Formats: sequence, structure tokens, C-alpha cells
Amino acid sequence: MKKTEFILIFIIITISALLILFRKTESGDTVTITLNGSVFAEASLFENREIEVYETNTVAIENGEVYMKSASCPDKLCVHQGIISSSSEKIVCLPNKVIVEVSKKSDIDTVVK
Amino acid sequence: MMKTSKLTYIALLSSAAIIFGYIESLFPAVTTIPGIKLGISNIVILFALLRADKVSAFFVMLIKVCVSSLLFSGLNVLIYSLCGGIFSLLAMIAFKKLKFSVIGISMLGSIFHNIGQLFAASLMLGTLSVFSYLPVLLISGLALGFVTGTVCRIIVSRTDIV
Repeated sequence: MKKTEFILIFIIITISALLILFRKTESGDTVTITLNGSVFAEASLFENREIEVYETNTVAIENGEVYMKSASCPDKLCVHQGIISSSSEKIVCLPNKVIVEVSKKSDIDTVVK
Repeated sequence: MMKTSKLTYIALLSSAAIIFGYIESLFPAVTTIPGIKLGISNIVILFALLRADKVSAFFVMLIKVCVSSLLFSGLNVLIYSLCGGIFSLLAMIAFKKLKFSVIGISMLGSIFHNIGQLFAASLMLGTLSVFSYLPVLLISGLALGFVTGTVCRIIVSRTDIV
């Protein structure tokens, strides 16, 4: 291996490792379902319900966690991606162009009643 | 005569790439992150690039991507594979020009495959948020590219056709 090559690969590894290590994860409260690039539905993470995205996908919210319950695509990668709950985590279904994301929307929840 | 031999060569390598892709698809996905794959058929494309020329490699890649999508994965996956294939091949051609080693070309080609797929995904899904997978894909791409690059180096050093 040449020196330039080694340095280039080393830089890529270092940057990616840093990005992974310093990824911010905080607990989210809102589930956003995006279909075809536009928002399809928004729901609270703490309300148990199931959301049907037309006939293709079913998103289930249970006890502050989200998972893809069913999908019409052949590989079912999104179903196998499992449960997500904190912000900046997402489930992507490429064939049906569905993204399920958890985010922190409202800080209003912390206002003292 | 030269043309016929080249055509045969491209056809042979394309069928090898398609078969490798099929064999790979028989194994269940190890991780749930979309895009982490060994990419055995990339060995064939890199081999075509090193042993023949970039035109042959381009045709092998194009035939492999189109036939595999039609036969195994469905047309809606074609755009992702094609984008990944083109990015990867362009990167490999560039790094070959820079006289990088076989393993280095393979590792960098592998991550550019991931970058191309994320690019296609961000276009199709209309969001840049898919790029949050990039750091994980870069590291896995380098590791898996190292494996396929090592295999390709052995194959290239032991063959002398074309």
C-alpha cells in the first residue's frame, strides 16, 4: 500500500469514528413519518397506536418506542431494523420511500403547570 | 477478432458478477443497517478494470446491475444499485489513475458505492437525513472493501488473460 493511500484511508476512518462517537442522542418525544419526501403523519411517542401508511407499511408506537410492524417490500429490512426510541434514530424503507424518525419537538412539556 | 474476444470477455465476467451477486443475496443480512454488504461481485468489476480496461468494467457493471435488479431484487432497487455502481466505478478509475494498490482501490471503491447509494436514496426520499448512516457505512465499507480487495489482488496476481 502506498503512503498517500494509507493516509487517505486513515483520515476517513478517523473522521467517521469521531462522528460516531460524538453523535448526540437524546430522548425524543415525536414520531414523524415521511412519505416520498413530505410529512405523512406526526404522532406522540407516548401514545400507543398503529399508523397505516396506505397499504404498504404499518408503523406501531408502543410504550415510547417505535417499530415498523409490517411492510409490503420483499426484503423487509425496515421491519428487521427493530425498535427505535431516541432522537436522530430512524427506520428507512427504501422500496416504499417511507422514513420513520424520532425527534424532540416540544420543550413546552417541561413548563411547570 | 479483437472485438469478439473482448465481447466474450465482458459476457463471461458479467455472468460471473451476476452469479456472485446472487450467491451473496442468499445469505441473510448480518446487520439491519441498509447498505452493509460484502459486495463479492465488485471483485469481478475491479478485476475487469485492472485486467481489461475501463470500458469493459463499465459494461460488466451495467449488465450486472440491470440483470440482477430484473431477476432478483425488483426494478425499484435498480436506481440505488446503478447509482452505487457508477459512483464506485468512477472512483476506482480515478484511484487507479493515481496508481493506488488493488486493496486501496477496492476499499475506496467500496465506500463510494455506499456514498452513491445514499445519494440516490436522498434524491428518491427527498431528504438528506439518510446521510446520518454515512459514518457507519464508511467504516464498514472500508473493512469489507479490504476483504474483497485482498481476494481481487490474489486473483489478479494469478491470472494473465487479456
